[in-house]
Amino acid sequence: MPFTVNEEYNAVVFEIKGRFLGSVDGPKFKESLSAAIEGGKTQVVVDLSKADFMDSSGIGILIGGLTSVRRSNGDMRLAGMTKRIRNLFLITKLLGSVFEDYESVKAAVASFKTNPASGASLES
Amino acid sequence: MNSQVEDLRRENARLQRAVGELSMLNDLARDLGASLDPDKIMNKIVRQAIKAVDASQGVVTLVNEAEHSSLKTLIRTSSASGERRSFHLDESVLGWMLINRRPLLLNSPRADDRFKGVRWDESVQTLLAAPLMVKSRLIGVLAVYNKRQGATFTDDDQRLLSIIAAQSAQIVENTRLYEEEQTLSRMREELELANEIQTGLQLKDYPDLPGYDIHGISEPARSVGGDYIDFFPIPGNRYMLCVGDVSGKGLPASLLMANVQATLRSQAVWSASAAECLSRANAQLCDSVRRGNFVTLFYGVLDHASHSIEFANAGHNRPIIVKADATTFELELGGLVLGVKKDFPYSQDSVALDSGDALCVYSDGIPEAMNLQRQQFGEERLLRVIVEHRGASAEDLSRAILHSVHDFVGQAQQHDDITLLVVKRVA
Repeated sequence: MPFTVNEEYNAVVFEIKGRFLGSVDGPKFKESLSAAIEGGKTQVVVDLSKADFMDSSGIGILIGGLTSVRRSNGDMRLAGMTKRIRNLFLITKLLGSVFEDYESVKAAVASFKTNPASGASLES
Repeated sequence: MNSQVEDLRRENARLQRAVGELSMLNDLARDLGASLDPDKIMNKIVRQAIKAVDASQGVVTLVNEAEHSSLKTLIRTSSASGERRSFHLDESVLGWMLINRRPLLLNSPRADDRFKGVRWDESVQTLLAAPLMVKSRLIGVLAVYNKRQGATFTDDDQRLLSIIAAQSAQIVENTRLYEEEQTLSRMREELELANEIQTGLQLKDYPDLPGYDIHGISEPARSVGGDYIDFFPIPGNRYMLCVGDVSGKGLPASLLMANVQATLRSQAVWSASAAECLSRANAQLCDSVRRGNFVTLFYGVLDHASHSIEFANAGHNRPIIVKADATTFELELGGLVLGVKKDFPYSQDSVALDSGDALCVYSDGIPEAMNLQRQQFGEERLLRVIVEHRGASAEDLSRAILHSVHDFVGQAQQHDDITLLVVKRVA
């Protein structure tokens, strides 16, 4: 499996490893995320430190996920992006305007304390 | 004398039974040969099996050999149970069959040590199962339950069920293959449709624009991808030029691409500026694009009277301009991909084209093309080719880039579409 789910403090951490392809890994990711949201866990951190490739539909899965958690008044924050994936998010301008990123999972988890999810919708 | 009569009677009964079996098997073979409908065939097998051994219920369970876990193997059961609730073959029985691959006769299942942990459905009294084997592979199990009148299954029943299973296995396999073939052919049809849509959208002719040389190339990867290229006249003696990449693949991506093209062409006509066009197109796409889909797009407006390009960029790779003196620079202004956030404020910039300048707009399939060593083609190689062939025509420059990517990639399978638009000012 290209990702694993852990819970740290009060956040759910999705750790993505290796190649993250929307068409292959998307359905499972969506399923796990929906389960987390249904369980009231809407503070989500995606750990990308071990991800080395992501295609456009992989990014799409994360955008879809972000929309879902925001609808439930939560947020999805990215952590530990490698240079390559960071570049992808910079070129698409998804970083800053849509996603927030943090150096580490720890920092991303802690951010929910200092900067709680506003529940701002992407769709407004 | 009496014993001779008895012997004859027994022999007669045996022969009669044999004739009955043969005629039943003959019927089965004839019926099965006549249909390719899996449900009908399974039902026929189950009905015949029930009749042959005088059972109350029956079920065919197919196993999928690709997944070895017996938990995931149940893909279809067919039972002929009349009014009664149909059984599902117990996983322990299925597991036993997967390992032993021979008939199983259980006349008192609850007392059998091999199946101690099984919680039998209370109405299961007796069970007889036979493997469906094709070329020594187990493809399924034929099971019947509850011999009528409270009787028990006999060795003859077991033998007969085994024969039915043996006769049915290849036919069941054929219907499965037929089904797979049908699914594949549906997928092929969908791909062809996607291809048609995409080909219909692709630019076929480039306008004969005085002082300009324009050429575009789009090379889809293995499956139909979502790259998009357009060059279209808009009011004010100008042309819109776009290279985009729609997330996803196949038919959905093609349809989204058609949506993007229609949106852009209509907004381009009504928008006073590149930024306005992207903002309007983005708002429209945010409403119509399925969640998680998005589009990267470079949008430019070429004014060939003033030799300038006004542009805005929605998350697309930064285009490169190469000048006659071999200097290069990128169009750096960026913006968010389309279809994600409705109120994103796009901005715009403009660039002047001198004679000999060439603008190269490309999709990420070029820098991210990978060879067998998993190295990427990268932007530096791209720059080198562009500089080297800056004096060539737009078409030759495009081809040089494409060849260079192909050479680099070698035998590796192309992962993403490759799309490129070259706009060169020649006078």
